[in-house]
Amino acid sequence: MIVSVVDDDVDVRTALNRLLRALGHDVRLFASAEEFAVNHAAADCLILDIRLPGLNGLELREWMHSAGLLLPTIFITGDGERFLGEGLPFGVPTLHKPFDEDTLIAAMTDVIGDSSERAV
Amino acid sequence: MSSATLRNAPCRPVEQPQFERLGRHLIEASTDCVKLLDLDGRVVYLNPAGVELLDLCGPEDLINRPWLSVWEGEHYVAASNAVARARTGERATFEGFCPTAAGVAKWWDVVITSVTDDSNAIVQLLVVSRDITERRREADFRAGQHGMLEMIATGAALDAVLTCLVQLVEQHSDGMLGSVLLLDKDGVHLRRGAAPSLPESFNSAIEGAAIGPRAGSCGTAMYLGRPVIVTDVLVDPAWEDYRELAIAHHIRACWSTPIMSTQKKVLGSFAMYYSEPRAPRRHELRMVDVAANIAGIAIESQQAHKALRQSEERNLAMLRANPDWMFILGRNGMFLDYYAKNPAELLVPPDVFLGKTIWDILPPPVATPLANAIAGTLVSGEPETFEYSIEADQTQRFYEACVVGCDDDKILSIVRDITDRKRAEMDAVIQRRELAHLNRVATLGELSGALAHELSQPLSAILINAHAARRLLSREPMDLEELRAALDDIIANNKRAGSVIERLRVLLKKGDGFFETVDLNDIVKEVLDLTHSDFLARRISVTTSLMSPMRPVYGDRVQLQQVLLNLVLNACESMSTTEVAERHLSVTTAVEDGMVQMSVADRGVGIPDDQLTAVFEPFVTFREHGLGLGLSISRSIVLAHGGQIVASNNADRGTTFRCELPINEDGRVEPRSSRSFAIASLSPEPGAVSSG
Repeated sequence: MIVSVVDDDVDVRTALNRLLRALGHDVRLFASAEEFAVNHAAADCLILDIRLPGLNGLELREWMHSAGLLLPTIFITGDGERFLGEGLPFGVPTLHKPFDEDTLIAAMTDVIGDSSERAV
Repeated sequence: MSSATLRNAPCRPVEQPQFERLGRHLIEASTDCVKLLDLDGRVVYLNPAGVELLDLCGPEDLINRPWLSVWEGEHYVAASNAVARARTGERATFEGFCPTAAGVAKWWDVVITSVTDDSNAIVQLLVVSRDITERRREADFRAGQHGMLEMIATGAALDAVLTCLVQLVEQHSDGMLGSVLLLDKDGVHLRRGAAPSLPESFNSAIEGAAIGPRAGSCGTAMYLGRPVIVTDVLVDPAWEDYRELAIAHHIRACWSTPIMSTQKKVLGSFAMYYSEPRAPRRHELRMVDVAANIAGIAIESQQAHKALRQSEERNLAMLRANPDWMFILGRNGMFLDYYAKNPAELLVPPDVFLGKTIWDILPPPVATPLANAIAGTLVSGEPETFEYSIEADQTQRFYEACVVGCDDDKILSIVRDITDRKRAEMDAVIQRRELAHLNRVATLGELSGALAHELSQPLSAILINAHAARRLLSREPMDLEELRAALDDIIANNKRAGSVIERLRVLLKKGDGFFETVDLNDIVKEVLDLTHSDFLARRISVTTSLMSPMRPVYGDRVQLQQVLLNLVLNACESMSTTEVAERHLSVTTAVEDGMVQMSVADRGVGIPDDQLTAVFEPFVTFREHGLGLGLSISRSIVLAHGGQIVASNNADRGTTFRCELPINEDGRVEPRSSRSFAIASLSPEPGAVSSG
């Protein structure tokens, strides 16, 4: 499976890369929404940080939606409640940093299953 | 008997006819009173000058009268003795008093010699009397003057001196009434001096009159500053306004001389009044001059006495009103004298410290600055001030000493108890510190979301790396390289989280920080690290332009971080309504004119121009949140660091806050005056405080 990760924090990015590879996935790393937008390749899953410099994670997903690039997506965020609430799209799982491996795997299974159901 | 009587000369045989004639001419031409007495003491001859001097109608008034009968009392005794001596052939002299037939008092210098006949038998006595009244009078007057000067010198009251002076002059001028008038300090009005012989009604009538060109003799003399001689008040224009007053008091003539100070300022006048129209004689003018001089000396001396007394009284009043202690010290630091309103309050009793030196009495931490201040004031001549504290009765008391040279070779030290002021200052410092702490807590509260984010990143990295490591352990073959990298990242992120916590801990800590050499670029980096997530959340882009190499300042790192934190959060807040593309913040450091500058520029709503100073006042805020203490506290911190902070609106939009702090390479603090002590005390390290 190919997993794309968008997070501006290099430590988090590196750690996710290491874990996902250890789990047997291919990983593509992006430091910002813009970087992902211009450079995205086919992926099975997107792990997207909400708080980003420039375009944030929510805006990136809206853009993807409008561009017809629907991808099973998991939001991750280090904020408490600040960005949660009304702005959060329905049905997108959101992981609060720091999160466990199991939580991540469960969310990935969940969204990929979902999308495979909906993608048809 | 040839010279027995000149009168009978023609009847007598003349043996030396020419000599005889010469003698007669001499006697008749003499200005002295010359008489011949027979051996019974009767007057047998009186020369023409004698007739005139004695106010007689002719010689016959005295001829055949016993000469001694004109003398009285002690003068009779002196005259009898002289006659008796002359009868023995001796030349006898005496000075005696004898009024003329008209009653004019006269003093006489009398010489009696015997007149002999051819057989050397004494047949008559020749009496030559010289009028010495004037000489005696002048001698008396001079003696009187000396008496006056003595009175002045011994500090007699002015009215007593002036009264004596007038009486002295009156004694020596017949029929004269003297008067001293004083000129008021206003330089216009007449004040009573002394006029013991003039009627009180006259004296009180002229009291308070204004001087002027027609203000009687005295008022005019004072006005013109020169003597005014009025020989008849009935015709002189100077007396026009006072004529009736003069007539009512039988005044007809009056001459007045202004009394001048040594600075040629008119002090008053000395005047002589007469009941007859009269012009002054030369000796009277001289007397009035002398009297005016003496009066001048008396008045000036009294003024000087008064000024001295007033100044002494003033000094005493100041001393009494002064709560400070005063010590007179010798140049060697010996206590010579002291003043204390309540000597019981002195820490050391006077009988212990008097006669001892400052080194004997004071602890070295007090004696040393005192000795330095003494040395300083002896060199500069300017007062030297320093503060010190002494522990007494288990309480710390604070004093301020001001040291200045006095009395040529002594030192005056004025010591003030400033304990109350000091305590208030220290309370204020504590309050300010607590306020500053509250401000930091509040600031960090605002940042809490961002700070949680700042912590969650390394914690996430740690957890994910740990999971990854566990996965790596169970893989075959084990990728040890990757495993080590995961562990390294765990360690690094743990440190990262630890440093965020440490920064928070420092900022949240209550109490004293300390002064150290600080690089403002580091402050910028530390603060921006903390606020990084907040910028992201607020969608604010940040640029920094940091001076390199940077010059150091000497300061409290936490307080300086607090200043920047306040400025940055203010800037963020001001841009909350700015469109996202314009939300830009720039932090700049620079060095200029010996100062290090740190600026924060935003592109927010700006501050009304007339409020650019007011924003630093407490409780003034343009933000929705916050107490309005951030900028006020920031300013007090910057001031305590010897710097300043200003706000200015940018040309296009937004505001720039700029703080300037002095460059300080070696951490030494310039001595500050004691006035800035309160502010300097905000610097918590004792070494950074200099009380001079």
